[in-house]
Amino acid sequence: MQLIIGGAYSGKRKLVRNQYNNKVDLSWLSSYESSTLGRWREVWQQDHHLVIEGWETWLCEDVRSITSLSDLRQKYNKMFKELINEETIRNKQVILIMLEMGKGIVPVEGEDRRMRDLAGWIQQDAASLSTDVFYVWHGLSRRMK
Amino acid sequence: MIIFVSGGARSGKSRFAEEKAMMIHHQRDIPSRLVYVATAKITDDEMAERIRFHKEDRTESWHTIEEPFDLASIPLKTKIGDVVLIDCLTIWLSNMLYSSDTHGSSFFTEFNEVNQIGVINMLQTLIMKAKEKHQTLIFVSNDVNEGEPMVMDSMVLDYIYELERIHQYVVKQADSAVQVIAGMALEWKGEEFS
Repeated sequence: MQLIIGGAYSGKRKLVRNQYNNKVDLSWLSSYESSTLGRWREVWQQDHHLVIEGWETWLCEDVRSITSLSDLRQKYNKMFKELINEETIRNKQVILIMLEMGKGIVPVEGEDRRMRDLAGWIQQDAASLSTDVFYVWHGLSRRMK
Repeated sequence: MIIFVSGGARSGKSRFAEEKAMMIHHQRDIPSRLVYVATAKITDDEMAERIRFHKEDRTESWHTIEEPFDLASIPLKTKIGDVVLIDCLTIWLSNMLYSSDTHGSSFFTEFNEVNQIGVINMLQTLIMKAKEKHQTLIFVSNDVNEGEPMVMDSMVLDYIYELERIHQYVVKQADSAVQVIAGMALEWKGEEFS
């Protein structure tokens, strides 16, 4: 599993496209196209790598529920492990694109704080489970792991 | 030479950029000046205070130009070989996109496709003319795109999108791109020139 992390519009998608540039087809699961996270198995086409993006939308929906943050964190962790398992079965890669959002001021609204906390934890978990981690900054990228 | 410097608020990016400018100025083998371009309009006491603080903070003698809009005119107002520090792109962009100041009437007064093309064209002209005059340009900006996502606020998202377009353009043109974290420089592009 690979993690691409960076600020909004910093060039994360472009990095993924350049990296795999026509060598392997990519299946995209994107919250920006109203996909739900649970659809990853059906979206992931055979012999493709799977790219998952728009986590902040799903996290935003999740923090509005009554589920505790630690339960939500566990849910995502479980899913990351399922993705890694499926990678081995298919012999293909999963690429997670996540938005860096922790550097502004602490949000005033409780829900926004919950969302930012959850995003930070999930990013730490994803980074620790990934074999490769890249940070994208204004169109440039740097390997962190 | 083109240098891009960015980072979070109070990360020390302006200070880093100023020190870099002074270093390059001292190494110049042709006569040059240190030029500070303030893009902030002095619209209130707080801003005046910030600019005064920045002026006092600078130990060397700097030639200061206040230019909230027309960055392409900077090479015309400066001399061959000058080291020009532009502080900063975030304020300049918000002036260009949203200001209704009469001084800016020849530019754009509302966010639209025309001014989106305009900002890149202006930077392109600035960089081209500065190179012709053998100047060093140091751009300072802010990593505002790494803060919390204001998913619901499309105006903020439009601004960040546009700012990132500018950042990526300048980074592409730059010989050196540096991220400042807690006063320390992380080199992203180009070699450290000391």
